[in-house]
Amino acid sequence: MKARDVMSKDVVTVSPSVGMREIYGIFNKTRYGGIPVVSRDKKILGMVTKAEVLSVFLPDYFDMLGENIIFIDDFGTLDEEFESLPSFELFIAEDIMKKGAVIVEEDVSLLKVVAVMRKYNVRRILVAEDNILKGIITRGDICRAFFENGDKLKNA
Amino acid sequence: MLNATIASIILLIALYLIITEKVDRVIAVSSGALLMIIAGIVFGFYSQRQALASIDFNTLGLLLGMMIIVSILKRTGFFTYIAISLAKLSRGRPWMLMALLGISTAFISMMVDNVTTIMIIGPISILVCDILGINPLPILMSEILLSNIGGVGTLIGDPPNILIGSASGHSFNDFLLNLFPVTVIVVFLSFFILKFIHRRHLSGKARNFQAVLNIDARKAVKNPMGMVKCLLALFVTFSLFFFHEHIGLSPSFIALLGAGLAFLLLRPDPEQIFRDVEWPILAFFACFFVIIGGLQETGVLSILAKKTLFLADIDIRLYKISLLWLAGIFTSLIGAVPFTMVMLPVIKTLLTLGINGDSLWWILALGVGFGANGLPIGSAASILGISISKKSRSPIDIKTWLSSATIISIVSLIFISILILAGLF
Repeated sequence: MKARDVMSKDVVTVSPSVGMREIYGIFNKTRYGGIPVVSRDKKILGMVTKAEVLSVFLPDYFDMLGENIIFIDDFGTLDEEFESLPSFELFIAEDIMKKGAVIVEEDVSLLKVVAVMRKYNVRRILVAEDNILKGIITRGDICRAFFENGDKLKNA
Repeated sequence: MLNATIASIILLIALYLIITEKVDRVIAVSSGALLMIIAGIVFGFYSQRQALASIDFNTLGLLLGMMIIVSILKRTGFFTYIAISLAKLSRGRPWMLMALLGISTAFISMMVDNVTTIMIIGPISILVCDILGINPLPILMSEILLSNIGGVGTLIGDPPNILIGSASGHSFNDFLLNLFPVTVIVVFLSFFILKFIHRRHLSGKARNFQAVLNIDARKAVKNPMGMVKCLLALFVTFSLFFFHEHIGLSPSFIALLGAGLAFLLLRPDPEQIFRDVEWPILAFFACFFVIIGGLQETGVLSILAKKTLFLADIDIRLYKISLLWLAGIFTSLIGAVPFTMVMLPVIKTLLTLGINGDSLWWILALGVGFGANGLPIGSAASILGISISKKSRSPIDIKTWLSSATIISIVSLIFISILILAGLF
């Protein structure tokens, strides 16, 4: 079994200029948790996940506060801004995406796919040749391959 | 003359690499140090033994000891506790918040390293401002500038002071007597200038002060007993600093003693604490000592010192003012440590030539300390503070810097120049 045998070839993608509301619409409709951002010639630019969408509203310096936010329950003005979401329309895929993506090639083994996913702690992995998107593999795809096609795997 | 030229070229190359940041500064000075030793051996002006002897282990020990104490202290949550308690005291008035956080940062910087102070207090201050809904820029700016200024007040406040203390043999109390009062004046002077420049951002009252009041500052303290123990170790350390000349202990020994005491009382994981120690800074110092040592052996620094004497013959006050501004300008360009290290042997030579000027040490400390605010690259604390501000909604850009920090730097240097003219230094 290779990556190409389990990947879905029909990948929902967005272009870098797609707005955040539309991305939310895709999340909602497809129930996918992450969507690749690709250029017109299908080159992979990055990935937008629900985590990225949420972290747009967190100030950048929060990373530097470490454990110091744990004991604060009321963020005052920051809370008000977060809840009013005034800048919702301002963001496009290019701003919120995580640049680059975890990529494997079509002919790598399934074990490698699992190992790479674990190494980078991602739920989905893109399959590409020369950075051109070929497919996507989620954790679900791999589980399905193991549990539903178990017998086929043994015979192969 | 050939030796002097070669050694000078090596120093200039190292400085050039530091300024242009073509390579990491530690790599720049370590290559310079190695080159100096090789040149010294080949041309016979500097031996390996001399190179080793030129490293001032008193400075390194003091830096290491204080780094360890602060690393242990910051893990207890002490600095966060202080910052949040002060924010509550401000009653939501922006200028009061700036006064409390900025001026406390200045005093904390007299005791601990500026970079650590800004690293912890900076992000917490931005958070408090964001909770209050006020612009964090003036508050962060005051913390950066006042921590640079505050460090001038004591022997251990700033690396240049540690260097000067070690080279001059002046005690902790000498520093307090000569530098602390003027530093406190400049802290307040700078605060009021900053308050005036940013008056538009600092008027009125913040909306969400209740949210800040709701924060339980005690919860910031991760290890209350540890905090008390560490403060005790710090207290013992400072008590010994006050008497070190009478009991015959060197400041570096006291700092390492304090670090040992903190280790003993709190028993933290040494591996974690040593990871916090800024080895690159210690390496930078050691390598720069080796470079300066080589330079000194060629005699070029004492030639330089003698060449400047004519100015002292005209008027000693003019000489002192020139030193002050030279220190200020060089520091804002290359940072305080390289300039201070070059000047130490120069001032030593001047003093042996019979110049009546023990105050040259203090003027050097004031020049590099207040000059550090001149440009954003003048100190490590400024560089860090600016990078923190870039993660907030009000980044400090070069224009903001020139229109407040540079002005404060120039005014502080003018103030010291006036004191020199008045014969106080």
